[in-house]
Amino acid sequence: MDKQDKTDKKDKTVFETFIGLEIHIQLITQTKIFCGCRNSFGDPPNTNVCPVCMGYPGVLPVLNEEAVRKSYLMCLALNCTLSEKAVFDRKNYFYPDLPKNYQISQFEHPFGINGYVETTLPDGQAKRIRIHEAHLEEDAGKMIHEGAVSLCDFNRTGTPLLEIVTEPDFKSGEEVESFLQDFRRMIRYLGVSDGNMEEGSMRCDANISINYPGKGLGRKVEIKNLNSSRHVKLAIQHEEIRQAKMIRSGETIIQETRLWNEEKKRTESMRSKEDANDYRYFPEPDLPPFIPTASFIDEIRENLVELPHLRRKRFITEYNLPSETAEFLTDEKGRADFYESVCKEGTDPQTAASWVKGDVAKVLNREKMDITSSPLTAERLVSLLKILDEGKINGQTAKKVLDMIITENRDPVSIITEHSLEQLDNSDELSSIIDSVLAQSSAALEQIKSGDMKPVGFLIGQVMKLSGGKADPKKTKEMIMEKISAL
Amino acid sequence: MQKEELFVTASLARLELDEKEAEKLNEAVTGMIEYFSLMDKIDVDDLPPTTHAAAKVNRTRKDLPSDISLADKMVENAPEKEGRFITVPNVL
Ligand SMILES: [Zn+2]
Repeated sequence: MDKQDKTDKKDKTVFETFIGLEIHIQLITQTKIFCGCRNSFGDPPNTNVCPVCMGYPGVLPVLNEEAVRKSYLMCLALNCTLSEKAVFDRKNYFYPDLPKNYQISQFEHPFGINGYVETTLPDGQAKRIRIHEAHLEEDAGKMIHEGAVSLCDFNRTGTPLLEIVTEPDFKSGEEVESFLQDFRRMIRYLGVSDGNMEEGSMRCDANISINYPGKGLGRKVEIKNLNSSRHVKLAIQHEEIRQAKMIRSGETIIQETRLWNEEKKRTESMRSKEDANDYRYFPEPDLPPFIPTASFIDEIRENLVELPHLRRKRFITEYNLPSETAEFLTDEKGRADFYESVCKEGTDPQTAASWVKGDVAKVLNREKMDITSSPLTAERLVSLLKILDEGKINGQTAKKVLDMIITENRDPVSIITEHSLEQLDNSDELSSIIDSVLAQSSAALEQIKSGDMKPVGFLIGQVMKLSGGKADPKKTKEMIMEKISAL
Repeated sequence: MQKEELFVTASLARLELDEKEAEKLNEAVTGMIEYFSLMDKIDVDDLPPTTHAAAKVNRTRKDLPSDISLADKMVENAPEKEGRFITVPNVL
């Protein structure tokens, strides 16, 4: 093959892509994994440190039981086989962000192996992603590089980190992007992590290889420095093209780690020495193995909530909702719980859905509030919708009252009473308002009498205005028609 | 031990070695490795590896913050610092 053939631009070979992910999630705990230092984000540098996490000689790490619980909860949600005996290992590497010169991790016997998780692809199809393993380890500190020196902050050193490794089951950047959104929703539902990629509480490395169709995995390249699911997608798409170009021009893909450059929208070689990856793992002698008993696992299993994709499916069938609405309602667990408690009190599911998705979301957004911590409890919304359903207030008023419930933190009944917002129906008051409107609208009346019904809407509007929005539009229309025909 | 292996090990430990130092260290390390090879001769086929001295398992602690903090003292004791940051030579 000559050079011309190798770089033939007409080469339309479609390569097969294989992508696997390594996802790190910071577990929500009060303290670090092996010591009593606080696990919190944003404190002044080196305030949450102690001799254990700073690697002083003679200290003894003791495992945080909450980190263990959250790890096992995640393993169960990922349908993993649990190791009969989980063992911690030392992973040796020399870098100032880990003062011990090794990271405590799990190598041969992680908490969970061989799991799977269901995800919904962008085209709506379900796909099963195999999980290679889930292991617990300690996070490293943060460094700021400033010319000749690096500034070290060890607050994050030793905070619990769960690493989930998938099999290379993804075929495209789009699949990975939508999976990461599903995955984030799942860990938030389980309450194991807040999954914030921008703040680094969920981090994702991707390994990607391409090959001629049917030839299996190619040589894989690892991509790091991916700070959002969108950037993971872009980096994968860039890498697919880069590798395809190389293969078409007869070059060999180098197995290496590349960094995503967010500004230049491309991956760049880290040029690290391959032999640097000799971690010389060995069992951590300071930490005894962990053997999960059946009763421990049963207890964890009780915290296994219905996962978002299953809840979404159930919402569609049980409440007869469009999939887009179901997706919105189940996006956050708090919102889905709220919706279901409203329905449980007998509110029509369609009505409840349109309020939660519509005006409730609008006011909460405006007030920058979360549904679980807002003054709008399920009871208050149920009570408001009941009053609306009984015709005591009209839709416009209900929206006003909803706004006041949230901004004034009050019950709908007390708001309606105080502002006397109850709807006027066939009361004398409504009747006299209509009379006075009709008395001032002779032109409109002439038009209606001659058979042109257009001004009826105008009259209703006038009545609404004069009643301060309290008139029942349906009743108003009936009474106007009655009065006109009696004229 | 091969000299190249020694240099690889040194670079993993971020140690700088010159030829003279390597010569000296090679001798010492070779001696140690020979000592390990003595142990390799012992028949351990039927013995499971001992990874932990005590037989205890599942040693955990409650997720409660400790109320004493040595953080200020530890920062104070750091050989080089900038504010509360501990500084090291930029190794990247
Ligand atoms: Zn500590």
